Amino acid sequence: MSVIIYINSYQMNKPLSRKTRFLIYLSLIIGFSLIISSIFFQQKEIYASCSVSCYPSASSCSLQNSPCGESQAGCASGRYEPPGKAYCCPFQVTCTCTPGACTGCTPVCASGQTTAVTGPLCVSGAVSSCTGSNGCTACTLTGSACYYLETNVTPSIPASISMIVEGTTYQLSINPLTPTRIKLPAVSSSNVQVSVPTFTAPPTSRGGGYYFQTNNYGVGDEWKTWTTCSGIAGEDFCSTVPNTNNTQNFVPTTKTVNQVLKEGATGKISGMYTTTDKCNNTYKYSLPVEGYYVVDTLPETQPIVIPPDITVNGCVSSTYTGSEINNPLHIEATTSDVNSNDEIQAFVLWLSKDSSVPTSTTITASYTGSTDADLGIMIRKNGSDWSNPSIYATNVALTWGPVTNGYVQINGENVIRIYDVSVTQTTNTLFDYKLEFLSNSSNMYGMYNVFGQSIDSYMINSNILDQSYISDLFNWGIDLTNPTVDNVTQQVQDPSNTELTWSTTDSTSGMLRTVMNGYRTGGTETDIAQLFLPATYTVNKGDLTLGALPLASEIGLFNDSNAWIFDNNTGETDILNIGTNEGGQIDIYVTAYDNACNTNSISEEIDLNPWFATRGGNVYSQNNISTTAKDVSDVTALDGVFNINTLMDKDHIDLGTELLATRNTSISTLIHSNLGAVQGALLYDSNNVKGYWFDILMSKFSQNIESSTSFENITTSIATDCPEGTSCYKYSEEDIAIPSGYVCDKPTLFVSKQNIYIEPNITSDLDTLSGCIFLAGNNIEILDGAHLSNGSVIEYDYIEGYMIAENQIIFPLVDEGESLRDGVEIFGGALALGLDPATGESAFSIKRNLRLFSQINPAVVLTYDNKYSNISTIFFGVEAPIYRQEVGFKSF
Amino acid sequence: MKKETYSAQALAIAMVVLVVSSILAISIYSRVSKDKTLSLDERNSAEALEVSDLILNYLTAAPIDSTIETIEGTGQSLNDPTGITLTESASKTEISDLLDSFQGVTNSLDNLSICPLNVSDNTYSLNIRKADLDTYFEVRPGQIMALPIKNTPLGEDCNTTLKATVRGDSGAAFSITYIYAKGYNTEGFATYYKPYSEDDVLNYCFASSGICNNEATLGGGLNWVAFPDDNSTSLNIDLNDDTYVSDDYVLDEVKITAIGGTVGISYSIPTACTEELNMINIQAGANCSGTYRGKSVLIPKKQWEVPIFNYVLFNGEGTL
Repeated sequence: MSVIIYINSYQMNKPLSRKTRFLIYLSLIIGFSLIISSIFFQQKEIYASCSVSCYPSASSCSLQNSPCGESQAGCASGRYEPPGKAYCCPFQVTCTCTPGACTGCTPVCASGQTTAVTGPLCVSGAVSSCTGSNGCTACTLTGSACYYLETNVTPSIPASISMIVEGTTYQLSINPLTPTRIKLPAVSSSNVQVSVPTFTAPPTSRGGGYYFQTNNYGVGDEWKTWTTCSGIAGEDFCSTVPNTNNTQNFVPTTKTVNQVLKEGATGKISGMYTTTDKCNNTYKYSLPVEGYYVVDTLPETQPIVIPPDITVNGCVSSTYTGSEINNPLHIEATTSDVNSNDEIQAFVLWLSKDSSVPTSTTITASYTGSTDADLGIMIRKNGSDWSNPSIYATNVALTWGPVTNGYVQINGENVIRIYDVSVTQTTNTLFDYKLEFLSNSSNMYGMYNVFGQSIDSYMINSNILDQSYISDLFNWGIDLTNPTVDNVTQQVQDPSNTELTWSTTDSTSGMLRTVMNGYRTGGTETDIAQLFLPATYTVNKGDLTLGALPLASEIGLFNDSNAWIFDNNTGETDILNIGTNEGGQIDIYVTAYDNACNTNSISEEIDLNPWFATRGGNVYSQNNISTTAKDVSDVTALDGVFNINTLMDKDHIDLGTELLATRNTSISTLIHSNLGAVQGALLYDSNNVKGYWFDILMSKFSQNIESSTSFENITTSIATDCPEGTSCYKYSEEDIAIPSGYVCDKPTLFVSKQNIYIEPNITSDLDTLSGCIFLAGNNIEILDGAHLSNGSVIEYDYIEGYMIAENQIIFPLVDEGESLRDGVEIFGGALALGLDPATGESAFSIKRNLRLFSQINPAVVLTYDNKYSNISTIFFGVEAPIYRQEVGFKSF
Repeated sequence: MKKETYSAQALAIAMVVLVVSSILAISIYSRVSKDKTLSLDERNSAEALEVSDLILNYLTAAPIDSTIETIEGTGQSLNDPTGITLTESASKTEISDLLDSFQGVTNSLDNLSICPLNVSDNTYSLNIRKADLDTYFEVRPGQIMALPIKNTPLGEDCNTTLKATVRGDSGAAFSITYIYAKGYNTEGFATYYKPYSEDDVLNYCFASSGICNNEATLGGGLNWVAFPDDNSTSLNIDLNDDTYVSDDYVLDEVKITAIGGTVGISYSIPTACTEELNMINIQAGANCSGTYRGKSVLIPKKQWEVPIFNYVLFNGEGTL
């Protein structure tokens, strides 16, 4: 009661006065008393009328209500219904009330709830109810369970839809007639997504999500008909719900991304928002936003054109770049794009030593050098047109970097120069540029797989370049190294035939062709040459006309008709037949071409000229010493052919072993310089005086003539011809002939004011002081003597003596009718002073010609013998040049 | 009108003319006098040189052995470092006496028409001595200088010092050849010569800092032995050294050949070894009216063979 009072006071918003509160309390007490009294009065009446306490009220006990169990048909036995009364009497009947079912109302749920089943998640936990009556008292009638109301509504349609191909977002057109062109995904790429803008789910839902359906039409609408989410051939897909990612992978049901998103393929992507119901795990879907795509078509590259090239020597190659052929390598790449040529952004040429190329590369800001295993060159549009294209090359890490000076480098060295770059865009786009491959220690070499690809704008994503569609165009070799032509060696078979062994190598591109030329220099007889091939050496490769040595540029031409040509042959041993060529030399040039048309050549001189060898003493020549000695130290055929007295052997065969001097500029290279010989050019020799020595020696002889004995006849030996004297001399105003086999068994001087003809062999007596000095006012000629050579061995005529000719010492051509011609060995010395040699001849003139055996046999072999220096004093005395020099001072 | 005269002026002009004329005359006289003096000096110089040549001609006409024998017959020795000096003057006839002693040589120093001794102060001089290491024998390119031992008896100490120097072309070179022989006959000729061996020859190039001066033309210096061109180096050759001897052969001759330029060679052989291989330095001079000129020659006591027998092959014309 206090509470009520308080509440009332509070509601009145002002405190009640004490009096008022008293009146209220009094009223309440009175009211309560009245209620208690009334209840007490009614009870009394119920007992009187039997209906007081019946339903519905104490004042309405009716039959209908049958409060006492009577029916309307009448009162129960013992009671009656008073007239005009609706109750049975006597009133004193006391009835006992038995409650029945509670009825009388329709249960309802609380506000905001419904008995309708909205979902399991919306069960409120309450049941619907109402207040009814059970016939005795009021009761509560309950009904169905109550549910909260479902509040989720359909979300709004997404504003747009897009596809993301490898990071690039393409906003799809909602117009099927103008689909959005998207990048062709890289090979084996699955990096494609579909996407709609994000949205915020309303609180009337339990959250939002995104739902996509793709209907990929394929090329030519091959799969356009929508069947289920899997499509006709597994090309379509629907995303699953719920999915809260607004960007979801493009995952065809069974096909791969590349199989669906292929060049020119189209399709429709539908995107919807979803919201989740409050009362159940069901969703509301927005209307779909439908976008359309078409996959980009790659630019097409026609086969690269490399204009044909030919070397100066006439070699061509369509597979290699050499130091000359296809260097620079001229690249002409024609590309086109069915979408638009304007889309073409670059052309990539990639040289790889393996068969793989990175499918994706990055364009960086700088170029720091390449590697030869993988090297890419890219010509890229710079700006809006091709007026000033940029050049890129791959770094070692296979990223692209701009080449600013046109040079591609490896290990810091320039290996490729890129120049003459032009790009012409008409109905197609022509990339035209040149690659000059430079030779150095880091240069590229070997066979490369050449890949190429035209790049359109869809293939370049910012700094990422899609190279997955690059094509293996062709194989191209690079060989900047000349082949090697090994020494051509000879093995003389007989005077007309010699084995020629040649070999070539090229480790990079391999050998292509070997051209063998032959030329003729000098000589007295010129004939064709023939080459006989192994193994039978009966097949003639062809007759070769031995012309004069042409310019170097004309030697070894690739298609020389006057040459022996060997294709794909790295070498063999052939037999060269020199025919009747005599004297001079045949120069064989072996020119090798590798597959890159690189060429190298060496020549082998088949020297048919006779040559000399000396041992001991000094060698002097007024002009050059151009005779070239041969290294014959391993030629066993020379064993035992020289006279035992000279101790000459094949290991000592050389131009000289002491001093080789010339007044001129050059001396041929020594074979055995280790023997200690020295050389001197441009050296003056005061002994080289013409028209002097014969007279001066005769003058000296005249002073010493008394000690020697003159003789006239020349028969077999000095002892025979000059038996009396210890030293002898033969003087003649005419020619003197020394017969073969003559023995100089005493110190002897032969003097002729004309010529002396010596027929080998001439010997001396080694056990006495003996030997001949031959002094001629004109020439000394060494004749043939007995023919000694046989089989396959050249033998040597032998002369012991010291020869001094005022003019020439001549070794005429002898043994012409013989297969093998003899050489000459001299033990002593030979001075040809050259007063007036025959035209074109030297003072010391060797005409003996051993033909091909000149390769291994010197025609003239001289060994110095000191004894003639000693013997000379017998005839010419001794001397000591006296040079007067002034002393003191000249007055002025 | 009175005519004025300037007598002083005329006098002055005459004086000037006289002075100038006098100066010119003195100058001309001085010049002529000087030319005359020079001409006389020149004549005296030429005459002195000619007399020196004449004396050398007389001396070298005879074998040097005769000269030495004659000198040593007087009790004088060539081993004296200063040698033997003879004088010829109006009062001395030492040179004439020497020349007179040579058989077949006529004393022609008396009453020479040039630089006559009867003119006061004119004298002739002659110095003869053994060449020492400072006296170089010049060897022209291609020529030789030899020590022709040729069975010459040698003492025990035969360490010969040999020096070489450039005479002109610094790019010159020289070779030393050792020749061995045996079986000498009574005339001193050897019967057998050791077969040639590459070790018998050493070739030297004049060099600075160990590199041949003329390396470019000397085959790049290959096999040449560098010989300093500063006169600081000498070679020692022991004429008795066993290392030079094999198979009973003995050293027969040491031959030095000049290559490419004139080479000066000097050597010193110990007296105990031999006197036979020495060189004699003869120096003749004349003092003509106060002008001295002289000439000298080096004459080896033992000579050697003609150098053209030094070649195994000589091609005097054309290419070899």
